[in-house]
Amino acid sequence: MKIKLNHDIYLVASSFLVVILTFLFFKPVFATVSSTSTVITVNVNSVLSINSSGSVTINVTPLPSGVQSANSDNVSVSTSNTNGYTLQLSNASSSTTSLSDGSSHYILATPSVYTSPGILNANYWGFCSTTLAGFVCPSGPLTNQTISSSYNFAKVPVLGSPVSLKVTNTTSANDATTVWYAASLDTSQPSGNYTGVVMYTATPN
Amino acid sequence: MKKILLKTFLLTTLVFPMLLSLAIFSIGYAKADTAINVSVCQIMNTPTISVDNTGTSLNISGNSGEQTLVTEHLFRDSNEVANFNTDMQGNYSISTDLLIGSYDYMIKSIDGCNTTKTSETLTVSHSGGLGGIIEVIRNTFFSQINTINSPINETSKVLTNMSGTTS
Repeated sequence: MKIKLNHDIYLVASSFLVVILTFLFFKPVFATVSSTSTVITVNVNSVLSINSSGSVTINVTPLPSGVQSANSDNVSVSTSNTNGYTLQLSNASSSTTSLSDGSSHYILATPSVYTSPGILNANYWGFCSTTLAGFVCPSGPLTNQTISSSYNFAKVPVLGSPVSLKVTNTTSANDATTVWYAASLDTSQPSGNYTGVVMYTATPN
Repeated sequence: MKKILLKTFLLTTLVFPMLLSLAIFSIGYAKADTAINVSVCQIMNTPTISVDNTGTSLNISGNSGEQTLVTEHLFRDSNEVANFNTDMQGNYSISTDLLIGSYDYMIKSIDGCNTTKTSETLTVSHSGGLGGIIEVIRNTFFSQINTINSPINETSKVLTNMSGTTS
């Protein structure tokens, strides 16, 4: 009897051992009942693009009393940024606001600033944008017109101190902004081709 | 389990900052430049035109008044045959082939502001050989025809074409 009892103990112990070994060596069998998850994340990055005419031509044949010519530039901005964008304007140069003929002749920027635009007097150039308060711009191109006090112009600020033309708060596709440029000249201005470069910057909000 | 934890750690510590940096880059500012070109011109005069010949070439000269940013274009029967600039006084002179036949010559001045002034049109009729001799005789009866210098067996005449455009 004693011998049989020991035998039973050994049998029970060995059974436990088999069960434990089964758990240890056949764990993958039980892994099928566990679960895991993967988060699929799609990052849709904001896109921002800007286009301008690239060139604005203003022809002036001055008279002694002065004449005014103007032409426009169209700037379009597209963005998928849901907070919109900010459009800024400045000269491409950080040192000058004048137009140059490449030698020693210049057309100076009007002394009026964008916070207080004014009449464009003879021998100055400037910009006009109806997106800003206080500006009244031509409704179409001007060629050798009498200098008008009806329109307000301001100097394009130097690089690094831009003027904000527009601030939006949503996405946009080819959102257009028209910027007018004009020159008023009299016959004291030497003939020639005068050039300067302005820069538009669109920044996501 | 350790592998899962390791992957999770790598994703959160390495990949996410990479995605974040890409997002910042993609929403950066955008720029566009525009050149502002102002052409300053002077008031133009209507160019004058006159012709003469050396027997083998035709000399065309005149004055276009304004000289800065102005280019003169010589047209023969509406085809441009030459373009040139005047001197500082607006004078110009150019030689071209004296062709047998009748041709219309005209000067068109165009300045940097695309203002155009057109001279009157001159018709140059040039005959050679026997025809030239006949023209010499005919010209003695038609004084309104201006005969310009030619060799003895040739003749040239210039007619002012009043239908020519002058602006």
